[in-house]
Amino acid sequence: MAKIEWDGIKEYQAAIAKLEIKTEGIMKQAVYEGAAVVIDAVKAECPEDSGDLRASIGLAHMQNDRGFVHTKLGFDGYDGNGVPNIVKARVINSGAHGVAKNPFVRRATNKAKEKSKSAMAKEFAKAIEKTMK
Amino acid sequence: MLSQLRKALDATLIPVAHIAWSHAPNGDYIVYAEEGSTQIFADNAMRSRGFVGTVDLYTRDDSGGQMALVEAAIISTKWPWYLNSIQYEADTHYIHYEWVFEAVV
Repeated sequence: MAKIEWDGIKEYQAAIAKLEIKTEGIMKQAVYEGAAVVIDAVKAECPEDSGDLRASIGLAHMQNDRGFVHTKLGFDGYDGNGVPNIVKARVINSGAHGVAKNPFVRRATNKAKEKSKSAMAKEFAKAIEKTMK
Repeated sequence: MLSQLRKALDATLIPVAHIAWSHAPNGDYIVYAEEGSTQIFADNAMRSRGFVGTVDLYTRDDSGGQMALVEAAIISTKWPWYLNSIQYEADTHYIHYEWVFEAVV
């Protein structure tokens, strides 16, 4: 946890004001750090194929919905046979008639959850310390 | 491990398999499986543990009757659950329901 000291209330107020201006940027950076951990985990659990599916994994643009900063992980584009990667991912993840499921996304996100939270907390602490000094 | 769930699913009279079917039936069927576990840690030790899993129903009944039967079976276990997805397979005409549950042990 960051530790910062001020000599007086005015200096503290100025530091808080500086932090307020930079809050959205800090949140986006922290969410990005957390998401990066999850993406790596999903890519690691993604079943071997031609590589199209793994390469298609990416993040949506960061959104800020009235203070709720978030992003989404998804599967973009089409494979070499013109099949949407999101459809392929869904069939593998949930299974289908005659296709046993391989819930690699849920498995990966469960594994990555705590590490992702730590990454975000670390980024927050670093950014807050840098901004308020 | 999930005998309580198996018993409840068997009571629906829809064919049930654990983990996977070697040859899936032509009619409606269920498959359920564990995927992993969840745990609560306190004082540097694991204090509580559960198993996360899924129940999948493949049905051509679009009235919702089969879906309601399976959901009632899951509810009867008193475990936390949610309906994760409903997918229609155009090639097989199956409606695929997927529930996620957490078995408290």
